[in-house]
Amino acid sequence: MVPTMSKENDLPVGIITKGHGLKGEMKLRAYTGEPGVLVVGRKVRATYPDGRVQTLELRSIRSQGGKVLVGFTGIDDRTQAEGLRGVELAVKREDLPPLGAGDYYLSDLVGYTVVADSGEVIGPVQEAWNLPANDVLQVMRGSREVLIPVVDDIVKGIDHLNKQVVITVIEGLLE
Amino acid sequence: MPRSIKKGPVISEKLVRKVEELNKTGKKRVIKTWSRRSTITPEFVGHTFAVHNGNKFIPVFVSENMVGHKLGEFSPTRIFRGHPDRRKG
Repeated sequence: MVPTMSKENDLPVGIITKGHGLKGEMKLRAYTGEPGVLVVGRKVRATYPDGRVQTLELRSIRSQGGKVLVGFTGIDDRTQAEGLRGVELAVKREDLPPLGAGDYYLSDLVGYTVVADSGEVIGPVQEAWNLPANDVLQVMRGSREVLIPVVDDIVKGIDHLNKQVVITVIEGLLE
Repeated sequence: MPRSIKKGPVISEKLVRKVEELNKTGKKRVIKTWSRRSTITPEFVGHTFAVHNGNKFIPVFVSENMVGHKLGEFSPTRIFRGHPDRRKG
């Protein structure tokens, strides 16, 4: 399955499935293969299944047998750890690693307008998908959905100032 | 177990014809296909295919490291849109 990117301010990274050991560690089911944004000392937003929100500070993170184990400051025993079962963790967009020149997060393109290099407006980006071959933008062209692959041959430039994605329309792309 | 070399890879003849035509003319266009079982050959590299996933045509730009795989591998049939909001339940 492929996760879809949302235009929220926080980036969900995973969900705590259960406690691990006696020292307050928990198993995290990460939404991404490698939750590289989780580093010791980082503050994360924890949303409980009942809707309560709490800020937690990451004390430890390690992987064991394909699972990610996390620990938080103030959570020192198994009982406290079990209390966090089902909590979804999210990091603030500002806490994400800085981007290089020309780099962008795929989710940032949601809401941008796709424009052909001829000047024709195709429509707004509804969703952005990270698919196995390439990223894909779901664009609404009137009431019709058009899928645009984010590859150099098609996407010629991204204008963050005007929130536009400039594409080259090849035959069959908008059908 | 891989398919026997004697039989060769499964590729839709129509698809091969279309790719050959594009390679000859040097034109670029999106090739629409339902043939998810077709193996990607080196001739496909650089072309964009719209591979049907049972619901819609997913654009797949073929690169060199995709050669030998099937087109269907790059057109997932399910899109994960996050977990349902438990608070609403």
